[in-house]
Amino acid sequence: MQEAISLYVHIPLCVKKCAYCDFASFAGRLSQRARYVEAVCRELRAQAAFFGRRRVRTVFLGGGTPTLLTGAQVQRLLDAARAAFDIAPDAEITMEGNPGTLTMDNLRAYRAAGVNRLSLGVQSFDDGLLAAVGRIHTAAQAKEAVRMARSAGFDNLNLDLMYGLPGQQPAQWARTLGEAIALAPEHLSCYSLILEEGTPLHDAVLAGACAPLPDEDALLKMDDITAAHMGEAGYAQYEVSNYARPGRACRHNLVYWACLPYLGVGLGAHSDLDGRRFYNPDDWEAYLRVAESGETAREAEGEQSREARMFERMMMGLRMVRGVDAARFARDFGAAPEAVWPETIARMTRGGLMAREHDRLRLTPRGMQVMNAVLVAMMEETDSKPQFGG
Amino acid sequence: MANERMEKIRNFCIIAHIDHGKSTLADRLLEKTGVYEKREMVEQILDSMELERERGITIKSKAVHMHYKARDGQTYALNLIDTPGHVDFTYEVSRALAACEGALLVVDATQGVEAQTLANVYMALEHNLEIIPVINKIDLPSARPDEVRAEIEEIIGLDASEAPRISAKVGLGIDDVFESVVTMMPAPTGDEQAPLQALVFDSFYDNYRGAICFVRIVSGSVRPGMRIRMMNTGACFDVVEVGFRSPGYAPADALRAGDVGYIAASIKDIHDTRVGDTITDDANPAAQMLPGYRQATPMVFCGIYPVDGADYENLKEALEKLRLNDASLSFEPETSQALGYGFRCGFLGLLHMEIITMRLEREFDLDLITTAPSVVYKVHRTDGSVLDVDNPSNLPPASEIEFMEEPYVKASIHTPQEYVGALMETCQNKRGIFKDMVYEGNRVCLHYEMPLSEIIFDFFDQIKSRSRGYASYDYEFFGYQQSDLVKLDMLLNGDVCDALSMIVHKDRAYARGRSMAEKLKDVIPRQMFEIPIQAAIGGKVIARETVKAMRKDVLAKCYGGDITRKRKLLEKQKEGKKRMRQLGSVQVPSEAFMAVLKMDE
Repeated sequence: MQEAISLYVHIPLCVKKCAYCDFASFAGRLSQRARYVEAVCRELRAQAAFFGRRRVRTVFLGGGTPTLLTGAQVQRLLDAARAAFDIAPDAEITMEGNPGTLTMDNLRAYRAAGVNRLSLGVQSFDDGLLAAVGRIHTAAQAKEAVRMARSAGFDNLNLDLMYGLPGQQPAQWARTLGEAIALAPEHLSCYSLILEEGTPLHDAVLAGACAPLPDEDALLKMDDITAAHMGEAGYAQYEVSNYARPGRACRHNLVYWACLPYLGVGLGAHSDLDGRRFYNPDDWEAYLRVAESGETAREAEGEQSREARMFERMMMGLRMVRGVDAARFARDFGAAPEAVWPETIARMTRGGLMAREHDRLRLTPRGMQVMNAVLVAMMEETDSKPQFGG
Repeated sequence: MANERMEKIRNFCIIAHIDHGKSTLADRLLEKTGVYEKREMVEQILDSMELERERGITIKSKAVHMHYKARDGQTYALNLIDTPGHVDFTYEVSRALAACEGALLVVDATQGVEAQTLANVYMALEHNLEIIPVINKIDLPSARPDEVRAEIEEIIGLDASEAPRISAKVGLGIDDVFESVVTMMPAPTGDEQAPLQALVFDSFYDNYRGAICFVRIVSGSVRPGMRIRMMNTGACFDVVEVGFRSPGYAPADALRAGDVGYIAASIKDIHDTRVGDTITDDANPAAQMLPGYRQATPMVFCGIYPVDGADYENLKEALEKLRLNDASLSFEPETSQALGYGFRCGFLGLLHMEIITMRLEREFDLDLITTAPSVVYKVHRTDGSVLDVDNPSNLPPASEIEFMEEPYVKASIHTPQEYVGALMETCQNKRGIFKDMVYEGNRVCLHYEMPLSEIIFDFFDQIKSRSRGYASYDYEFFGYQQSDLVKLDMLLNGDVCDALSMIVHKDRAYARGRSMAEKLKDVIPRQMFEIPIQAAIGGKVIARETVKAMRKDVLAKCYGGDITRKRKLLEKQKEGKKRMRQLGSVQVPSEAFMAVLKMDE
């Protein structure tokens, strides 16, 4: 029997690009959204013809701004997905959305189309900060969006928040968290801003054209504030940046972190399926040309070596608080993590950065803070050893 | 007639403050005399080594032969000798100057007389050179040639009334420079019929002809077929070819008294061609050597290790290649617990050491770690034996040491009067023993006896900074003196790092230990765990610092399905750590081993 998979659908449409964003998404292409939806539907059919009618446990409509699609367009996409794949009856079907783009009618239609989880890009409840990073909505609109979503029947709601924004004070972050928690979402993502090269915000920060980013002290203070607020409000951290009420962790994202198979459709989407890694073109015309021709527009990333796969299993798995499934690791690779990186894991465990509990190898809260350094140490240990079969 | 021939020879050098246009003028002289066609002059010819250009200093002496048809209708043979410009190479410079009769002193018409101008003039005067001032850069709008002329006369005491006013850059006034050389500089003298005396002022290794000597013929003559003897080493060779460099080889039938040229004699080993040695005719030897010879002995030693142990053989080959052309470089294999396999290398001084390591890194593409430089200590053991130690790791246990001696030098510091106080303080801090002070007009020469180990630290920088660049110094080794020395160890995470150990004077040990610990704390990046840094003398900890653990190093978001991108970010992070050395559980950047030397005490 073929393994169940997750399905990602990329909607690269935005009203306006945010200052920090380096994702594949375009402003000013709204007029072409129907054409895009049709292209994705064709790609879904083509992918299914190639990979077979797989069972799909989770679907994620990400962007960009998927809520720029009409209810009918979302219905069309999900119908095409159901036609092409065997979507489980209890599948988690998430849709990302921008609070500035929601209408009651659309929300009801999304819900009716089968979307059962809504992830709202709120980022902050501070209008000054929202404007500073180029968001198109206000804090009031975000609150209204949550109210509308609830009344449209969404009982599984995530709010995306960002901290470490230009000029942001720890107290401001505490207020945003407080307001988010007051809206009682099932799930909260709190992302520390990553300044990406080539984004307007990157240039502005370098040029001193915006308020400076908070320093390390302030960021750590914000981390403390996050931990305190979440703990108090009953949200458990289950990943570096993600918190959820019991049973409300995002199943789709857990698939990525556990390195389970997924298929990505749409412009620039990445896939990891049947041991192959591939992705679609992230150029608008290039993607449409291939998708509309009924081909599968897959660019192969090339064979992943066993070493790379083992490392990625750790790189992704250690993001989760519960850590890596060491037993599954040993099954898949024929060696326990402790046999692959004996020195690093022993040193990290001794130093209180890692812990092994039954079948799981995880980072401690302190280890989680310096995860990159732990991963680099593992890479270095691999480099220091002769390659297998070399 | 020998005299008539010599009347038409001029041997000279160019001296200048950095950036006053020494190399540009040299290029222009070569171009005017047709040594180079203009279109071939891609870069400044005399400063051909990349490093030399970059640092604006000349490391090796070179001589170029030119012919100039003067206004008097005669054609003159001009030999331009380029000289190194740093105290490490003082000896080499002195030999090159000894080969000249005159010097062109280039002064920038916008900057005027500056620190190095003076230092260079003093050196030229010591060799009795006729100094001709040249005022350069008169094409610049901010040029003030009249004021600069007055400065030269007042500060240096040279008559500058006839100083050529030129622009080497645009080629203005170059003929005037030639005419000054021809009319104002003395011709060489020397007896062509006397036994051969040739002063070696530089040598270099040519893959096809072996070691080649640059010489000034002081007396006699040399021609192919002659059997020559190196008076210092006694080694004999048969001359294959003599001639001039312009800048290619231009063979001649002979080199005669007053000439500056080259001698090729199939010399396999550059160590047989010592700078300052006298070459004579083996069949008809000169009665005595020319004065001023000094054997180039390495004064400063350090360990050089490849960052990647696999580069050991490459490092060895590279050192061998450099040694072919540099008789003053020495090296032998050594091992360090912290750094693995490497070489103990000996240098003339710190700049020499820096130049060699930079050339190794650039020309041979090696990543290197260099350890703290050390001098050679004489360790008198309780059993009566004496041990030479140039690596602190080789110091016997304190219980086996009766006493130790360290090398002392005689340092002469030339300075304008106003900096005397500050410089005396610096010398005092460096354990200098004041000898005397000599007034030279409005300048002063301070004489000190100082431990060489203090000079190799940051003496050059301190002298320059405390005199705003105006002081210069020279030093000469004079012997060993008993000294109260101890070994200072640095411990990282509880383990002694042998590559950071040093031998220091007891009175300085505490201060240096503290400052080393502080410096290391600054250069060792935060790591996953806290790292204690300790300084210890004989097992007793005298200073302690802590590198705190890094606080946060995690990617907030994982970019959806693009796992490869994340892995690449981590790979980049890993590459960034390549210059770090794993010492036990601590990662130390290669630079740390050198950075600890640049200490402000």
